[in-house]
Amino acid sequence: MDDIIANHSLYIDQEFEGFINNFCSTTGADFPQGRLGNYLGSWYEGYLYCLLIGLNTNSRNYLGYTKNKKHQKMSVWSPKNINQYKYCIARVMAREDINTELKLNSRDNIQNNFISTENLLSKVRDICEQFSLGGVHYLKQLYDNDPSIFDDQLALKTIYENSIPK
Amino acid sequence: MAIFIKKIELNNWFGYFGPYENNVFEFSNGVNIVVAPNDTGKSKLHNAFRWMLTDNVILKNNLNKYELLNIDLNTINHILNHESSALLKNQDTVTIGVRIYFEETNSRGESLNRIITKEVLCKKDVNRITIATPKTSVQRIELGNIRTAPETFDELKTKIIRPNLLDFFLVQGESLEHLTPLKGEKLRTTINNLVSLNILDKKSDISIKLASNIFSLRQDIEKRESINNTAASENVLKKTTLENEITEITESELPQLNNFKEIFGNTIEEFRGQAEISRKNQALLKIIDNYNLDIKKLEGAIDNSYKYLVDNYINNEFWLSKITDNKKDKKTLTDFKENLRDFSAKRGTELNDTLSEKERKMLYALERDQPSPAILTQMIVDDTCYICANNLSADSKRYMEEKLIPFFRKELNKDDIELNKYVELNEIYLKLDGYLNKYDSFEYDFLQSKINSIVLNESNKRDIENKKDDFIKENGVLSKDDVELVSLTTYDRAKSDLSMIVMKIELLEDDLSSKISDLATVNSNMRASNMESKDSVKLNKARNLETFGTEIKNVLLDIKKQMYEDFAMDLEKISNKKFQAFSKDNERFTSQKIKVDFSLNHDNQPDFEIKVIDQFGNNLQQGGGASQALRQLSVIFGLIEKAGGNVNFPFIADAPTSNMSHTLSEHFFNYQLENSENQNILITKELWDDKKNTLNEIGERILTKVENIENAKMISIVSKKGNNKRVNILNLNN
Repeated sequence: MDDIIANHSLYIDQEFEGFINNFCSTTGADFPQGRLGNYLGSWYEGYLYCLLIGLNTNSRNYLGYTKNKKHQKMSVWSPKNINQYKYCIARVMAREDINTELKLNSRDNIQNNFISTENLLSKVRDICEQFSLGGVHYLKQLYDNDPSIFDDQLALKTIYENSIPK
Repeated sequence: MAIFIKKIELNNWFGYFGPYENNVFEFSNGVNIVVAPNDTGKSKLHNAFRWMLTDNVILKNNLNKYELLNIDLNTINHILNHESSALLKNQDTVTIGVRIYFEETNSRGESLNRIITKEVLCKKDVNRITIATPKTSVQRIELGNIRTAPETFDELKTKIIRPNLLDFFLVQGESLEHLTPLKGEKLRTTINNLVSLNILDKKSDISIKLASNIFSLRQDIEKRESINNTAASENVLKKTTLENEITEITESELPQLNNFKEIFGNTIEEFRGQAEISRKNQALLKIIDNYNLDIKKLEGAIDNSYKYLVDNYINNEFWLSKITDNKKDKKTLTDFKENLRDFSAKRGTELNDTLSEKERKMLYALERDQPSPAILTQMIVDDTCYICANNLSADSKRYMEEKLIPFFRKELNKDDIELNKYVELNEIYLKLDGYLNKYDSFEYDFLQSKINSIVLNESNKRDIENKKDDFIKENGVLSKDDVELVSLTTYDRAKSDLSMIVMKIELLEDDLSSKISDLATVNSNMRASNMESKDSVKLNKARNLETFGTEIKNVLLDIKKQMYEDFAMDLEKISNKKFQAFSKDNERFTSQKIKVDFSLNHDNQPDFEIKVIDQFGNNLQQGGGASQALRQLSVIFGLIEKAGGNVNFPFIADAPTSNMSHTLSEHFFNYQLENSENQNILITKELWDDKKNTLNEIGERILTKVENIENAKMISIVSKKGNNKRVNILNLNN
């Protein structure tokens, strides 16, 4: 399973790269001084953050990317990162609706649709992408309403906290 | 009495090469002007006089400043004639020498002619010159014959110019200021020597001593008279001691302390205003410092909290998971796993049609708990059911061996596609469940408390910053300099010193009053014991004498003061007359005046200070310069005139007008030619034209005058052609 996940390529929408740079580095550039709780050091962390936001707010973008996809395959997954990704997958697969969507809710469905772990995880990855993109849209909306939303030192935590369903 | 220098002869002295007879300056009894260009031996001539009279020579040091030096191994190379020095072979010797011929006349018309000589033997030792101790000799001229004189060199030397007047009669223009002092003890001594005021000084001193002696005498008599009466003698002793102590306090200790009190009082007054501002500023700065300290503390706390968050949540873990409650997700995943078991169990019961309904139910139940064949085998070996913990019956064992174990073995067959799917899915769920568990620690509250503390600290910090800003707005921006503006230490120290001195004064005054009252008691005791009546005639006389002595002392002091004041006024008048004469027609000096200040110091000694003031009375303190030189010369001639006929010493001056303009120089020489009663030897270059190598216009005018005045003489020194080490001495007016 780890090998399969390690072969996953995760994408962000190039259209949104400029916006994402408000709270996350997409180029691996230096960490801006004085930013801790309102900036993520790598594109990958940004992807996961958006994914979790998408899951919390149930924002899912089925339409996919608006312009060009831009992907960045992890050349070497650090144990920390792969564990975080697996955590996210667990969060996705622990949803009733996803369980139904993946047709794992009955014997017949499993018999007819489950092909292999790789196949299943590929589908899950697509779902992750849709939620992550949904998360980006959600954040963009917040930002459009209030351009100073990322200024606060603990902005990412606050936004995340607010996104958790009560 | 008058002294006239008749002749000076120089032997290998600086530029003067050769024996005495080659280098002879003959002087007339009046004004002699020696005129020559630079570097021909003017100052060396002056130095010859100086060496004879003071043992020193004036040479320029490395810093081009004039300095008084002795003839020693360092200076000999300058002093020994260079040509003579060059001629010396190793171990050769040569003599440096000066010889002065002078005449002393007295009021009865008698005269004495003396010759004094001073020589130094120099020896070439490889490449340096060593010197022997100077040798002196004296001779007299009687009826044209030279004989040994009865006096010593030192006696005769002091006859030419009295030692304490040397600074006034042997002067060097460019060193006037520091060689001829116009204040201090040297001036006082000079004045006393010139005008004999010291006789009065001595008398006054004697009267002071006398008064003090009479005082002791009276005490002695008192003591002696009461020797037979122990009580009385004790009283006398007590009285004497008390009197001495009271005198000590009133005349020495108290005035001293009061003086300090005044000094510290002045310091406090001077610094009070600034010190108050400083102290206020200090207090204000302290408040700002406290604000800064509080802000720093809060910043430290905030930084620590951030560091904790970064280290523990952002860098090391997936911090978002820490603030998400995973319980629901974990339960859902477990439910999904349960579903898989359910599916699997149902599938298991369908596999064997031969099972009864009861057996199916049991298998379904077992299937859900997934006992493996190995465990079932072990249960048979142990003869125990792991589920209900009862012993197994023989029937049960047989059932397990024959039906259950083969069934499960068959189920685990890899070819069972449906079961394999469940197993694979189960594995996924197991793993994912593991990751949810991995980030299970839901620490939201703890994290939140950390963050709350940051928020609180940030807000407190902002509050303090606002307070600080308000404070600065209200009180202005202050710096450490505002506090350091005045030395608080000086002020505080003066204050504490003052309070200590005031305390000491109080104590001393208490002491004094108690002593005075003690003395009164002693006196009354003495009166009571009829000591007064017992006083002898001697004692009464001594007492009268004591009063008289004190009166004399005071009167003499008054007279002395009055005389010195008169003298100062006279000197001021005469010096100003000279000053105006020297600076005749010169606008620059018409507004200036010489001021002679006089006061008696604490030892009742006179102190003089002579200065130049402008028309507003301001002191013109200029080092060097024409007015300085004029002042110095005016005072010198003022003093000489004031001394009258007492001091007919020759006035020997090198470059007396060195700082003055040509006009002033001309005035000076004219004035001296017309007015001087002493012999003058004035050495100058101001009358020489260097380019034409002859007298300049002023020189010519002065020469004309010299020719018309009896006893005046003008001498020139000219370098011999082609050899500037040798000089010719020419008498211009002969």
